[in-house]
Amino acid sequence: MIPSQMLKGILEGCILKVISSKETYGYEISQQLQKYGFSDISEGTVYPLLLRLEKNNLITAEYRESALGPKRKYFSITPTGKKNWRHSERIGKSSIML
Amino acid sequence: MMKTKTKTLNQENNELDKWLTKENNVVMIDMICYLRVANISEYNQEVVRQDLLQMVLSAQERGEDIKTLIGGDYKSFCDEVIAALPQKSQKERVLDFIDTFLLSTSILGAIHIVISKETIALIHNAVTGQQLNFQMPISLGNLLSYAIILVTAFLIVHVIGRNSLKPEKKHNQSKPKSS
Repeated sequence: MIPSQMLKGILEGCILKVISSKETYGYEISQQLQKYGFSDISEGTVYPLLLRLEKNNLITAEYRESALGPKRKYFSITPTGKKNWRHSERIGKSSIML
Repeated sequence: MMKTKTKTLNQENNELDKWLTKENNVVMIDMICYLRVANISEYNQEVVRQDLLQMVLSAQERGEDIKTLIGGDYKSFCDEVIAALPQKSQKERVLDFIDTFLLSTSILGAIHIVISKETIALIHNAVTGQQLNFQMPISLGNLLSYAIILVTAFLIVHVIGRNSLKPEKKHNQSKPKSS
């Protein structure tokens, strides 16, 4: 699924939240988002957003061997990413109150 | 430095390519073709290729195919990926052009030397011990055909790349229609 511009923004915030709670990889992020209720989210939907977050220095990525099969790209949040997430969380909370 | 890193990554990816199933490989080739002609650096092309390969291989292990992973619309996916990457600067574009230009000039130059009459005469004279003539004329026709070859090659690459993910292609047709 290719998300709309607005959904993309929301998804980016959610991805940041997932990564900020623990270092993780693409497939796990998509699984987590499905648990949050985004039904049609695959790893392919998440990947361009991860690239964008990485370009904007909000997250960093690193390849590591996984226990079974192919290598995995693990993402972790940067200090800038943390600041940004807290900011968007505040906006999120205030918009819920409205 | 960057060139070496790109090359290493390229070789690693070529190895990973071998593990793809036939169906996934078909889609993968089309997507990479599309990325090759996009305005992103060669290094980023290989980084994306590595990411995609690892994603697809993991999906294969889970028993999923590339369609489940990305959804049927590969072109939109690639456009999203390209948009999320830094675009090549004017300087990088010029340097890349010079790089390709010099490489193709040396290859076509070498071919010209090998097939020219003068080379055959030179070898003949060297063997029979006659005077050696190291001069070789380059005609305007030679230069013109060189330019035509370059432009044609460039056009072929771009036409193939741009059209590799046309929506009417077979692997996109099974996509459920939503309007």
